[in-house]
Amino acid sequence: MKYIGNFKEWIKQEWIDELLMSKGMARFKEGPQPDSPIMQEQWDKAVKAGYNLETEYFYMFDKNNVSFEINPPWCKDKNFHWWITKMLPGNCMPIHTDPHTVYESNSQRYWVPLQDYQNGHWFVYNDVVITDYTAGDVYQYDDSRDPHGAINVGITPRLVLQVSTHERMD
Amino acid sequence: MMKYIGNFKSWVKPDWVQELIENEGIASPRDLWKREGIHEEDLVTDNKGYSIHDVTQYVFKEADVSFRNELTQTLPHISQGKGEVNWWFTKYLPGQYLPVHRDLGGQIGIDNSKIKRYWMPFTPYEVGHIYLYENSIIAPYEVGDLFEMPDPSAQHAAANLGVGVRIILNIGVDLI
Repeated sequence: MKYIGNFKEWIKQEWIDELLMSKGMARFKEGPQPDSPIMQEQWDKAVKAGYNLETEYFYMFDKNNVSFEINPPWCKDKNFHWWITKMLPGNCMPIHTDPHTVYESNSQRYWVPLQDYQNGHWFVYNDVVITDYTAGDVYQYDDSRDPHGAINVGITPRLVLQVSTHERMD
Repeated sequence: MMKYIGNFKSWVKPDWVQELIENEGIASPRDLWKREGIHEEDLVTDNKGYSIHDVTQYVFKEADVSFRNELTQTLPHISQGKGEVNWWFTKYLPGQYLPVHRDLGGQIGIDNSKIKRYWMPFTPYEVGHIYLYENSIIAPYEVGDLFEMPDPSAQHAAANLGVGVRIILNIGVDLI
């Protein structure tokens, strides 16, 4: 992953407070069902491996369930969308590829922890586990389709902002 | 960082691995503490959101496998005369994990300087098969790779975010 820089000053404490106080959308239980062949393929693979996609693996926030707006300063003049994942201790996201990156033109993915690293807050990217990061660090995927996953084997909630940019499809 | 000892893949017998895959093992922590004779009221339950009633991995103690004697008598690298050797397997199905922790050692009166701890994967590495020792991950690895924990009391944790089962042989030596 490519380190872009630190944007800690841009992160507002009230965002963190709201995210910690709110439940968010329980994924996969409350999330969308597969709506593309790539998502269906990964879904089927996960079910076959034993993941129970009817339960709560993590919690998700986007523009529809938070009171604040996210306008990443490193995405100026780019078409972007974002989501935030909250993982309680024991929550996880299996290794996967983001389906939208397969379809979007010139997709770029960014990973932005909203908290300083705490033991057990793991982000897995290929064969690497990202640790020792600081809130507001921005990392860009080498390839937006690279496999990744996450787990919280620590003792505090874990909050991460995900940002994806792509070229406008006119 | 874990100390790499060497690879002993030829020592790992496919029928051992098959037995571990086909049998469930002890559901941990849910059933492990009962099996150890620990009463629930005696457990420290400052669990920060984890529950001792959850099943986050499966454990096989020496008595739980048919190949106990064969494995014990042929353990590679481990000098049999140096101390009491004990071993156990941990099996992680996809989505299972072991939270960050330090082994009990000092808390139960064991001097960690008189312990050696080893780690050997019995199943092939895949992305999402994670073992973290302090802040270093072992990845990728080969079946039969043997590592020593330089400090048996160091923080460590594990997880399986992949789609294949992950089985690890853990070895402890109580030095004389």
